[in-house]
Amino acid sequence: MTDDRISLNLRTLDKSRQAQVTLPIDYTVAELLEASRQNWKLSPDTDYLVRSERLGRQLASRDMVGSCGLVAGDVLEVVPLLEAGA
Amino acid sequence: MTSEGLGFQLPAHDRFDRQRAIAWWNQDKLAGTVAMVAGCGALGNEVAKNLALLGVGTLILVDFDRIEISNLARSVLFGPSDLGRPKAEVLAERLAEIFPAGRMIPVVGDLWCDLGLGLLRRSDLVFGCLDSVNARFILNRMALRAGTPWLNGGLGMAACQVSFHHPVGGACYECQATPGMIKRFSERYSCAGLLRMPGNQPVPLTVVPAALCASLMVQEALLFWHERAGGLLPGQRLTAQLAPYRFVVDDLPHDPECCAHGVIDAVELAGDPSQVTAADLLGGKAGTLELGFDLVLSLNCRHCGPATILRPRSKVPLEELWCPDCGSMRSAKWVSDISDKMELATYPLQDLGVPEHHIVRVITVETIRNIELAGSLW
Ligand SMILES: [Zn+2]
Ligand SMILES: [Zn+2]
Repeated sequence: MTDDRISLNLRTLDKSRQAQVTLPIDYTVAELLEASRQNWKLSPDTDYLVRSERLGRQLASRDMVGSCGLVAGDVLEVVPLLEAGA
Repeated sequence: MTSEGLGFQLPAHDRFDRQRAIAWWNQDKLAGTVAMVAGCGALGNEVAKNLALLGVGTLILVDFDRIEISNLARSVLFGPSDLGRPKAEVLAERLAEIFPAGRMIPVVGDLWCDLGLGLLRRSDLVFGCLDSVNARFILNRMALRAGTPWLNGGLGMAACQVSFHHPVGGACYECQATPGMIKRFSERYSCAGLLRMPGNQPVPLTVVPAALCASLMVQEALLFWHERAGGLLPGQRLTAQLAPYRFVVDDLPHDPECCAHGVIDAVELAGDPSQVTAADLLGGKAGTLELGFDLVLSLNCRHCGPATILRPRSKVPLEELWCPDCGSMRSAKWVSDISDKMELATYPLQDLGVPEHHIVRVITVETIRNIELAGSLW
């Protein structure tokens, strides 16, 4: 692994899907979400967000994976934004 | 030594005995609390039921919708005889049966154009029990402007989320928005600026996550009202997952450029919008009144001429863009400020779509004033 890439463990909150990914450090959270959507065929009607398990926070979609406090090996979880109420 | 003479007393004997026995409980505080429940569906039913049982003194219940048969499997306070009736009204009646000493205020109308900001300003906490991201964006902006903290609840098939948003700090609901959410919010309006009416996709749902989510929201509220630590901080979200079981709390990202923040300050009171005009509030001075929404003045057909509309933009569905006489597409003309020079300045504000308890901004060369209009609800 070189310094311009970072390896992360990606999974859905319910742990039904997981993957190990190595990403360029300027890869954005928005791009990561888009890739997860496509690879995992996530529901097109739901918004998803990414949380860092270790940091206990949701990453902003404009965050870049190399400069938002993540370290190699961190677990990222794809969380649905729940919308129903009625 | 016995405990006699030590001043040990049984608490007053009333319906709240058991909860009063909690060391930090303040029943009087709850009796003096004003809570707004925005959305009176499955989640709103459960939240409002909890609040009434707990003895929260004033509940403002907001929903534009009417009860349908599919609501009955998830809404504890609605029954078959209520079909077709406004959700907010029925909920207010049932809550009054649960807690007769409480004050229940139903608002049958849309968040954005029928709920005066003044009612939000008088609320100590708002419970967002809504069923779309767009409605949450709107409530978020209104609550932050009114300076009122709010709890957002969201349901999934086997999960729920609660987030806490506060005008004083932390991420708001909109701060965390993805570009996709913002895009869909703006798609609510067509390029002509009129409202699209997308049918809400019914999602698979039971009462189970609604009941759980309502319990978590009201637990958060109890901690907040009693100034107890341990609950969510402003800008945090709890996700509770049922399969497999998991509770996760996250800090939400705060966006310094988010335009939803900013509390309106010093509010003056004025008369009823059915009486008061913009000219009255300007007091004969040159200036403008900001409505706080876009008012569609007319729709103009190039064949048949203009038709007067005078309704807030969010109450003009896109279908109205087509001329009823010749079918051509019409162009919309709207304003959001009323100046003293306009004829509209002499109309009662109600005729311009201003709801009761709404707050307008009145700007003259000398002053900028926020003025809340009176109404019958409070
Ligand atoms: Zn914000
Ligand atoms: Zn025409």
